[in-house]
Amino acid sequence: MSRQHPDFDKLDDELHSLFARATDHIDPQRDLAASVQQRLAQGESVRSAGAHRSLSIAATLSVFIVVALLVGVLAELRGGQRGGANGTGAPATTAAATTVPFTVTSVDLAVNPTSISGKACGSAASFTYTATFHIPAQTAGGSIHFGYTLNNGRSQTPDAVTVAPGATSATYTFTSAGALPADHTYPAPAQVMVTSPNSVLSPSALPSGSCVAQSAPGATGPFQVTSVTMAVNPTSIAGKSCGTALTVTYTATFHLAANGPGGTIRFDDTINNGRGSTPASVTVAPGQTTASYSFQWSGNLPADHTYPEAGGVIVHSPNAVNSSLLGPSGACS
Amino acid sequence: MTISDAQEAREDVDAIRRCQQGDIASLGALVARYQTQGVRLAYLLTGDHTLADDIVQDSFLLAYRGIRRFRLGEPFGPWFYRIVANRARQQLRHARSLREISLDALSPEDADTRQFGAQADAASARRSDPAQRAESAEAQTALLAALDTLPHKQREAVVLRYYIGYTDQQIASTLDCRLGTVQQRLHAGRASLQQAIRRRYPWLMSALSTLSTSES
Repeated sequence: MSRQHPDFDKLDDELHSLFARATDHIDPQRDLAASVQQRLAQGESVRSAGAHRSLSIAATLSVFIVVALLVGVLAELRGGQRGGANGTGAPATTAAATTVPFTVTSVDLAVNPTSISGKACGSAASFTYTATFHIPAQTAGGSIHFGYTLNNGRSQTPDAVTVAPGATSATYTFTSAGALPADHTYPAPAQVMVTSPNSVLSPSALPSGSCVAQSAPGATGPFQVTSVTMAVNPTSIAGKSCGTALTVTYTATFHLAANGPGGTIRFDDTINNGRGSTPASVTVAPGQTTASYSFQWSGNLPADHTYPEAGGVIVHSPNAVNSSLLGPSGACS
Repeated sequence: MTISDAQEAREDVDAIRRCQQGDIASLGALVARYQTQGVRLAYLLTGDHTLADDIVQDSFLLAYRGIRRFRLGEPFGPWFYRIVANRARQQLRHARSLREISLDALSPEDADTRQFGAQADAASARRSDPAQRAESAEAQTALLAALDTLPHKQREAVVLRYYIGYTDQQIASTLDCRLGTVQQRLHAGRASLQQAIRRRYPWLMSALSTLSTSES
């Protein structure tokens, strides 16, 4: 091996040091071991880039659910051991009177204001989200542990509410405030994920519409898609029987720059998490600021839960914009 | 090889053998050992922390699926990093073809977004330990910006050399190309990196000033 200039050796040393220094606080953001093993256990193959964010969120939620189930089972076992051992702990009257296990049957999530249409981009806004947890009657009460996300699952905040014996609902409120950006990335969909006493997901909550970009009076804006929001119907397939025929409707809403000249929006839609796509287009009139397009998946719900998958659109023209990928929550049983 | 290295190599062999017998749980030991360096490697190759996590997650999945072909006794690291590098290349190619690297992290037409991501990480680092880590975070931002100026093949070679510490031969093996090709890529990549650093981030490395003086 030929030797190089001594300064090149020094340069090499410095580069080694620089690379080490620049990466010494980069660590995995997620529990990769759990995610990988979850995906292996589900027999999942490696998919395309677009699918991964959703998959990793789904995998994380799945791990969450498995952990929550285990926690629930352990909590129930511990409760049983306590009661059986000495009969103390919870008041005897409560234990005798309650026969219904403490569970969360569903969670609603509402956002106020429900729309930001007409608000000026750049203006300040605040949003109040109210989660309502539904509990069967005649339970002994307990704590509901959950996490909520304000950014479509990219991060979440854990919290808990305590439910009194016999109560059939509990509410929890959280807020978010900030300026409405012109790229419409805020607010993002919010969601509540109950982890204990059982696993339940709320529907996503997102104020409808989008802020209006401010332009000079009389100025004609560009023909530009500023963002695309997705909705899916039904929002959940939890509780449906596998094998049941179902049609899922995905609706993309294109948000356009104000005072635009109109034109044709060309895009691809996907119903399988981006693995395949179909070209489509919608034409908008001058000055129109939103346009919608719906597409569907129909079939029998497979027992392996491979469908329905997340749907979304990839806009190619007049500019490149992607929607988020959204599919019904839950799984058939 | 230290005693610790030897111990880890034995543990790797045990974990790989159990994986080859279908024990998914044994993959956990390999993930624990190689995930951090894998994520850092993928991060240097892509500039996107979240994508790097995805790449490494996929790479472990691919490694497990191909583990029966792995020859026991060979080091796991180079084999795994080869998968990571290949997966990173596929993901970047795929993202470019779809024009959608990311909805929430990486914007292909805006390299500043990458810098923003790095700065966000930098901000996070500063929050956790401001005195020691601010410099590291700044180095990260600058290095990523400098790496962005390199063609991907040069970037792969440079990252494998200066982050993983591979020899030319090991890089050739990892990237499945000829030794001469690696040497060309390294030479060009190092020169471009040096130029980018000298122009935009001269404070990063003291050797550059010495080198530029001795070159002229």
